[in-house]
Amino acid sequence: MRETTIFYVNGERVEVNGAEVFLMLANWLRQQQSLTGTKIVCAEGDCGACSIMLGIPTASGALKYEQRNSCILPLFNLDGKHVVTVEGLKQKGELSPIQLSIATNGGSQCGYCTPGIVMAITAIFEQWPKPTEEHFRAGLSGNLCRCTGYDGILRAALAIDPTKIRALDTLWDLPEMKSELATIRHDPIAIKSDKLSLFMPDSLAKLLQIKATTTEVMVVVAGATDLGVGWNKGIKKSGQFIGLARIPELNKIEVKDDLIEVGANVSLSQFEEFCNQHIPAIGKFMELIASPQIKNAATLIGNIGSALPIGDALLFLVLLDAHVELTGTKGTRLLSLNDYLLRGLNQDELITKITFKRPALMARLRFYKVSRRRRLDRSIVSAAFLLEQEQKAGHATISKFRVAFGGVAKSVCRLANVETFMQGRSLSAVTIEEAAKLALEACTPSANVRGSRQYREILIVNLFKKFYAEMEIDR
Amino acid sequence: MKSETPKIMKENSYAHVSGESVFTDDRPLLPNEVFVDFVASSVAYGNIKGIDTSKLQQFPSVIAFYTAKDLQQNLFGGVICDQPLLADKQVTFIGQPVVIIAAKDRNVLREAKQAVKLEIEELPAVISIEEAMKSNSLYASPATIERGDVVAAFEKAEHVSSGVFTCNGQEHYYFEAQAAIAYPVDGECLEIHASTQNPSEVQHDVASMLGIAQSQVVCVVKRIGGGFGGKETQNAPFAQMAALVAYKTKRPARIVLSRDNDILCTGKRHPFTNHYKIGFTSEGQILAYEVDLKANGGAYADLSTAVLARAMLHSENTYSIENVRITGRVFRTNLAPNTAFRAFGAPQGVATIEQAIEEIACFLKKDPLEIRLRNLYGTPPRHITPYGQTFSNNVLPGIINHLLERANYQERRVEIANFNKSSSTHLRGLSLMPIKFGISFTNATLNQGSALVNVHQDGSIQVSTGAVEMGQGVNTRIAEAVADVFSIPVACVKLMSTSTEKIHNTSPTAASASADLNGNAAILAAKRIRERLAHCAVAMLSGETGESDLLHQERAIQNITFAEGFVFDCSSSHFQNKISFSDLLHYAWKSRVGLGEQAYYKTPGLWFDREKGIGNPFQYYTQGAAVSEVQIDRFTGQIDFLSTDIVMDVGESQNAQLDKGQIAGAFIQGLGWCTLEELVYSHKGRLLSCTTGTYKIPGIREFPQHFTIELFGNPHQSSGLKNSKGIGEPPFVLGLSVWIAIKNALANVSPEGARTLKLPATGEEIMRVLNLN
Repeated sequence: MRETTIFYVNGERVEVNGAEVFLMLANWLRQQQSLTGTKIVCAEGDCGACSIMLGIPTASGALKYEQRNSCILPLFNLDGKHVVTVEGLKQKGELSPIQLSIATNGGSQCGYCTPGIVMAITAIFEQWPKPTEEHFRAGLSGNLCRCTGYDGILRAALAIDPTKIRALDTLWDLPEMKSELATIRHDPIAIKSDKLSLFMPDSLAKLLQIKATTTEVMVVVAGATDLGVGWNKGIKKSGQFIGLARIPELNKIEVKDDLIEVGANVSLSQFEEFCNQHIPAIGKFMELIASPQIKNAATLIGNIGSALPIGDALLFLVLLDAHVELTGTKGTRLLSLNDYLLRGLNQDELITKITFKRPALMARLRFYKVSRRRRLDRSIVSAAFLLEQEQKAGHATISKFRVAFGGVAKSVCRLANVETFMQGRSLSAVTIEEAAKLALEACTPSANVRGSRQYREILIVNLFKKFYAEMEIDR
Repeated sequence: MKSETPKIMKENSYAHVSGESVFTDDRPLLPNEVFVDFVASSVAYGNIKGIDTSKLQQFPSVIAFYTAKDLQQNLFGGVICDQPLLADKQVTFIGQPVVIIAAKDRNVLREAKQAVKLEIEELPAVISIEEAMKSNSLYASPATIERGDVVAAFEKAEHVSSGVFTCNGQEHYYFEAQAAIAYPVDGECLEIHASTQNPSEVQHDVASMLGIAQSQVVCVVKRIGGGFGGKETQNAPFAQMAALVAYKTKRPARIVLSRDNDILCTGKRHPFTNHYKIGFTSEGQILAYEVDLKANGGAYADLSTAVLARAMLHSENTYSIENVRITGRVFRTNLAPNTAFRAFGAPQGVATIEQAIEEIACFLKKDPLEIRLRNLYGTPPRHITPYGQTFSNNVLPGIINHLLERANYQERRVEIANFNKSSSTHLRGLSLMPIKFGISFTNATLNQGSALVNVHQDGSIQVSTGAVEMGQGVNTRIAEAVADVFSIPVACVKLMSTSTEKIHNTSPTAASASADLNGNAAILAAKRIRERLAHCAVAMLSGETGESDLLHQERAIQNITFAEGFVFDCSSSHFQNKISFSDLLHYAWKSRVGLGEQAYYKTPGLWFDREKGIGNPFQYYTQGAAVSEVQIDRFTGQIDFLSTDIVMDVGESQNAQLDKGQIAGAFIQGLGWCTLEELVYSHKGRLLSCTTGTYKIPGIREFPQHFTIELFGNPHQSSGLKNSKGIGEPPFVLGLSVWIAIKNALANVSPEGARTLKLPATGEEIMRVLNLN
């Protein structure tokens, strides 16, 4: 096992070891590399000022670049990758067309968010050959700006000539770098320092073995977005970590007939892309969640692992009766997500997969996220509905009804009493009102900084009504 | 020298996009530099019984700590000197600094802070205005502005309506957190680099805290990553902390606040509760308006009395009302001391009368626009403000007419009414609101600026002024003005760091007036140099060697022309006899003619009598109007920002891109204050929404789907810098157009409920109103 972390920054090779690999990239860039273009504003992945581009080797040897929040990106997650910072966009003294457009079209005022904005727009052009205003709005939803009001930024973005853009893979076409990254990207890693250690084994078997032979609790880490925020906010930096990045089978999404299986290291972005192709209703909902930067790092299963009451991804998984696959020394077992949320897992186990059945074609799905800001915000209340109807004696009768809520109880939950009630009835304003009453009985909302208990109660009832209104409009 | 004029854009834009712009914390670390932080009160109000620092010994990296007793002076404040840098006997807000700690390793500070134990006897804290009213603890005496006879007018009025407007505060959320680095110089002096809008205040407060002369302290500001008023007075305490450590330890000392700590312990925009009474005719003519403004000042006076003054001076907004009585008070509470924030009280004053107008329209079943137009300031005698200043250069009627057409207001009103009848899921609302914003500091003393212009022999120019560049583009504006004096490309003029050793007694960069004040000073300085150069040009063109005492000879310089990098005599038949600007400069230098100049500017004609509530506080008024349309989800209260059109008077715009940038940015900040941004406090005065995750500023999805800005042509008025008008703050107030559009939408369902809409109109607040029905 390799005992160092190797990566490249703007084409320069870097090798770090020991405690240093647990530093956040943004701090490391600013304090140890004098690359102060990258700014830290919120230190919790909530503003995008620290955005950088991360080049990840693909099977073809080319690097695929995506934007990340460097303030919550520990160095150990850079192994085998290429970091391009704002300083790395200028080539031979020439600004990139993106930088030039922002500078000349009023896309920058105080300049503090600007490097992050430059990176986000760079990422949009990596993804879309001819981005539209909608692409820019979506791609910039992880970046805040307090000066421009976004007018100048959008104007600048729309003024860029897409034909002038050079992809980062051609801009940073360094054969030596690419060949080294291609070689080392599967290396298992073991790093130790005084208070911290990290293993990144290259197979599940090895991972389980390490976990079993270690007496201390080992924290499983994938995108490290929660970990980064925690460390930045003062959670003691110590413990043993085990990374999933090097285990090929955990990086896959597989479709077996109607069954969809998502590996533990699959990012929310990968999953969103998959849904856009296969389950558009969920894809659309995924757009409301987090930010592009976060979704590139965070995993679907991480959302389950942290199991917050408002875990947005949990919402549809709970709705669709997802199961988690737990793997331990004694083998694997499937557990319903609900049971998992109630009971958790054994110490030797980890979540290796989540599986769920693709909703039936006739099923009508709706997902709602009520938040203060429309993007890059946690839900106050979220809700998911699934409705299937059949014709019985000339009447449309509910053959299947499922409903899940977030933000109204200790965890995201299904409302079994409502589902039972709806079964076999016909959809009407009266039944919906009854259902909403039952929902209120089943939920235990409380107040927090995002909203009062009363508002949550109103939302529980009203999201039923909204669902009904939309079903009526669609009819 | 290049003669082509490069495209004029914001100075430093290229460095911003390449990441090369240096902000305070981007400065390289020196080997012996130390990091500074502070232990703060976790109690909103209480007596300090003990400070236990003994556990700090366990941290070898901690090299020093200080409490109030280590300070030569411990009370500060620009208006009222009442705020200690370090709490001594009492703590009065959560986040108030008590102990300063310096450590060699920045990562140790968090733990070291926790090791200090503060023993505080907690006392009942006062958080809200309502609580404060019971104890009636005020800053300064209540103020009044009065015109006409409101009592008699209310008696005569056909209709009288009264109500209350309440609003929350607002966090500045400048992207660059409060920061400062202090460098010891020669043992007894300090050079401080700070993220402040107010370099002289930092210099003066540091000197008095340490008991040293102001001449021993230099404050330098290269640029700041946003200020919005939050760094007008509130950077100084942190700069003082760094300075104290640097002065005592003889090491460079750096303080950079964490985001969460910055939000927690710095002051905000003032929450207000305003009671009003308005009398009007059945046609909608306002006869009398009485408003009592109550501001939550927080724990110390800071700028609160000035904020209140501006709120009062904007309480009639754009309406000519014969009988007005405006009273105001600032209450002392146990929140972090509230402070300057873009538009400085004006939004809270304007919002109140705009709310009253919406209610008149609702009551009379008229379009609110009709009420606004009927009462709009006009020709004499409808042009006198409640405080007696004449509202001249009133372009509001033209702006509104233009906007009505541009935004298709009347047609959309009909469309929206139809939409609201047919949609079961959404509600739409439309608004048009005007704004008139007075430019100048209401404290007349601050309306002074100064500049140093140094012309180099190659024709490039360095300019230093008292203004701080914080993204608003003041440096560009000044560079353009100076380049214009010499008729050279703006790229030849470089604005240098703001430094108190070059420009002293700098007024804070605030009040939308810094380009006016400092730009006019720079023009004066540049013109003096140009005059001397004109003498040189005459001498040079007539073939003098330039060795005599050039400036003491009588010369006809009126025909000397500076154009496109050349200088010539425009009356001469030898027109082609041009001198290049740089040749002339070399000649001037050889002839021992000074090529540097410092100049000073003050705004003429300003005065205000606070006791009597009358005066001429403003040099001119920036005006504008906005039409906004919103869509509300009837089930969740969530808002879609569909459309905003703004028409703004900026006088004779000198840089349309910068002006529009200020308008868009200020408007969206206003939209945030009106809808999203909510400061949630516990009953004990702890700010619960003190993280980026919980305090939500607008994102790109809140930027309206349709958004236009038009600059209203208003030339030839003598006003600000080169006949332009200050634009930094006024458009903030137009954010209220969104709030009024929400009211308008809600009035369809619940007219009575819409009256009670609070600010911010969050989804929760909107649902509260919808559910009143």
